[in-house]
Amino acid sequence: MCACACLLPRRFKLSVRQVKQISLVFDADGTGNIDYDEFVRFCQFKDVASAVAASKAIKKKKKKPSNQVEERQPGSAFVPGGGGGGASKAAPAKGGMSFSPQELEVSRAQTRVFWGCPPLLHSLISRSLWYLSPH
Amino acid sequence: MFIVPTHPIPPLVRLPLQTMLKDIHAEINRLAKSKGSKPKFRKVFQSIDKDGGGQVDVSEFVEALGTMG
Repeated sequence: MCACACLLPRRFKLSVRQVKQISLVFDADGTGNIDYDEFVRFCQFKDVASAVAASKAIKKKKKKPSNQVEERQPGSAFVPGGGGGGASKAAPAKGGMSFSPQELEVSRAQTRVFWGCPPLLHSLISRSLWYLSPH
Repeated sequence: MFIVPTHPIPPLVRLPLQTMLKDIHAEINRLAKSKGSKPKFRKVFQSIDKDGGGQVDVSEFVEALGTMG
């Protein structure tokens, strides 16, 4: 390898995508801005791989949903009373719809009844729900 | 009359993300390095944060990357 290669200054050619990727590594909490703590966190790691891994771990923690309504898929098995029963802690979502714990519980019960029925009853319920719904 | 550059202009290179991050990491640590004491990250951060708002936005970040490379 040529020794003079290291003497030449290297010039970056950054695309918008690369800038975004780099800023995402710094911006662990996903606010769009890099604050001092995030900056220091990135710099204090010995190597870049661990810094990237730590940033991803923080993002995963932040992304965990708090008040998602558990819905049963049509293909999966129905377990009466199972899957998300009990008191739910419904924290208000940022910028999205928020439900009170009572509303969530009613919604869960309706979902359970709805998916647990045989096809004919299923269609009857869905029709009657449609007629009852305000539209 | 033509002006002939004495130094060769380095070509613009597109580096992989990992290499670029490694270079940025090394450059920040080099800038923050101080003799016999802890690295001064605050100084580097303040030089990037032009408006002094305590947070670096995308435009400031791009500008800082430009000055590094």
